Amino acid sequence: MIKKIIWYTVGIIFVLGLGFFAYGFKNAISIGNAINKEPNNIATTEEEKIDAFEADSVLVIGDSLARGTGDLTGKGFAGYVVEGLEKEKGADIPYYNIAIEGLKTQMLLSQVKEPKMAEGIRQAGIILISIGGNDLRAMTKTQSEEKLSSFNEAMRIFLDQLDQILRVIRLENEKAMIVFLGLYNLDYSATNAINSEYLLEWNHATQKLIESYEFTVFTPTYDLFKLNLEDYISQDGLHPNTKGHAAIGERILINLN
Amino acid sequence: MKRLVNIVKNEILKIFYKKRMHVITAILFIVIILFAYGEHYTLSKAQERAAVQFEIENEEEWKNILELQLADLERRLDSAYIPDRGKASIRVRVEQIKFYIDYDVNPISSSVARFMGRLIEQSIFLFLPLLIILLAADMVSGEMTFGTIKLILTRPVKRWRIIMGKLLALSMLEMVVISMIALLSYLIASMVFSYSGFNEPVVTGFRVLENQLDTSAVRTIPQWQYLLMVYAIAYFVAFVIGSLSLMVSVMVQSTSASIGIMMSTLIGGSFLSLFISEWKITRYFFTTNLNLTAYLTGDFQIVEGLSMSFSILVLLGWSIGAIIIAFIFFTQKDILS
Repeated sequence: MIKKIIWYTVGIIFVLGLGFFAYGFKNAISIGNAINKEPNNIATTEEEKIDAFEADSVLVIGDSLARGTGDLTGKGFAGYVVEGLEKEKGADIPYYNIAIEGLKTQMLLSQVKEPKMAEGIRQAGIILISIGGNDLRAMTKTQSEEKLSSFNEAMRIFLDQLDQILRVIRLENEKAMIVFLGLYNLDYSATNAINSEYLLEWNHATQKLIESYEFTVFTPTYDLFKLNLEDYISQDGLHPNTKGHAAIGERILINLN
Repeated sequence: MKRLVNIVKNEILKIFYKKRMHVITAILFIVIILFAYGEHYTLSKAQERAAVQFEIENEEEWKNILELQLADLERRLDSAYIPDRGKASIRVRVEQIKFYIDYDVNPISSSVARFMGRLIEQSIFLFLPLLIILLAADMVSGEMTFGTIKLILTRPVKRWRIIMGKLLALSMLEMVVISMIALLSYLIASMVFSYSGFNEPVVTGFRVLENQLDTSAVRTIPQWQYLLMVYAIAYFVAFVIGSLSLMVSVMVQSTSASIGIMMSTLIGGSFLSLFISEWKITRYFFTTNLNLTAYLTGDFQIVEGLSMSFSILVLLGWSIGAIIIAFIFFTQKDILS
């Protein structure tokens, strides 16, 4: 009796298993060879849009902040600026946001140097830039003994690259209004005093560089976030939330008027 | 045909009477419990860390973070500066996050289905082969050790039928072992993890193109389909190891020698392929190709020329070779007392 039970159980498991596994095995082999069904033409339409820059457009370049990360509506501060300008002008304003998350100054420099960027810069009436946060954060994260010297080195490189970026922009477009966003602090407490000091120095040096060019404005955010940190920072603890983005946008609008 | 079926039946019963399956079940039981506990522990730690990092006080806030990530990824899809290759992986990530939001699932938590998959992924290159060796190593050499081989060979049955019967019985028992892993891990995981998650999307479809991991074909499939694939692959691996063990078992006189040879080959082979991956011949070792599930999950080390179909062919070659040798050896062998 037991013999029979064992024999039939094993037999049934084997036959059933073989059936299932034949199906699974066939799938496993074919999985790598199948073609991605999703359409890929979303990318090309966006490329085309960038190729056809229009005059007096708003161009947004830089890091995730410029991209709009943290804003649930996805507009970002740049989106609010454009909305504000459109309301004032009563017409649509062409708007190109080509900021990339995690971008550092070095990468922005190579981005603006790309040939296809030249047309975009030439057509722009307003250029919004947010860059440097990733460079500074990478530096302050390190716990090195010679923090001061590494900070000075990082800032020197940053200023040099930013200078080159501005020069490339000015080469193509002498009249566009350049709005540069200052950095805000993520921790204003006394325990972070050293990093706060670095940040202030960084902002100050950046502002001086920006001011050395014509038709530029340095928009600080340090003061904006100081007393509103809880309210303005999104849940990732790094980017502004919807309110924060709106506040930055509003401030830039006031500057532009 | 009837005779062959009787031989298979007899072989299977022998294994059960030797309590081999009991031992394997006991080992599986202990290992799976430990694995489930470890998984649970690691994940709860990870959850705590994440909660501190994102300053989460209640469950609900998970969704906000996921929505933030989703908005972020969807924006990234619109960016012209991300190459198409990168977009495919973003798209599957979007799909996954949407699932988590729709079904209210915390992504840093395990599910029964995820555990079942992880278990087989982790055991396919060492633990599973060891179990199969335990099962197969004494199929012939055991008969020699106890002298029962003489009783079998004096029966009016052709020798090739006997070895064929042993091979078939082994294949069937391998299926039992794999089903046992599935069943035990399902039962144990159901007690530890509350969420079953058989419909959760899993990312797969990785390829190697020009020696680089190509993610342009990645997509999601439901977890149950993925499980079917990895368990099918596990059965294939078990079959290959089983045929190799059978060959060794035919060639040596004692069970311990047969287990020893197989185990040292397995472990030594993995070491070799790990350390001298530059040396091209290592890709033809069966040990290099055992980790087949890695091709599905995309976390394999990229070695030039290695792919899912290549590995399957190599393993198939080994197992066919082993079966042929086992047949020839067994039918030609002189049985000495």
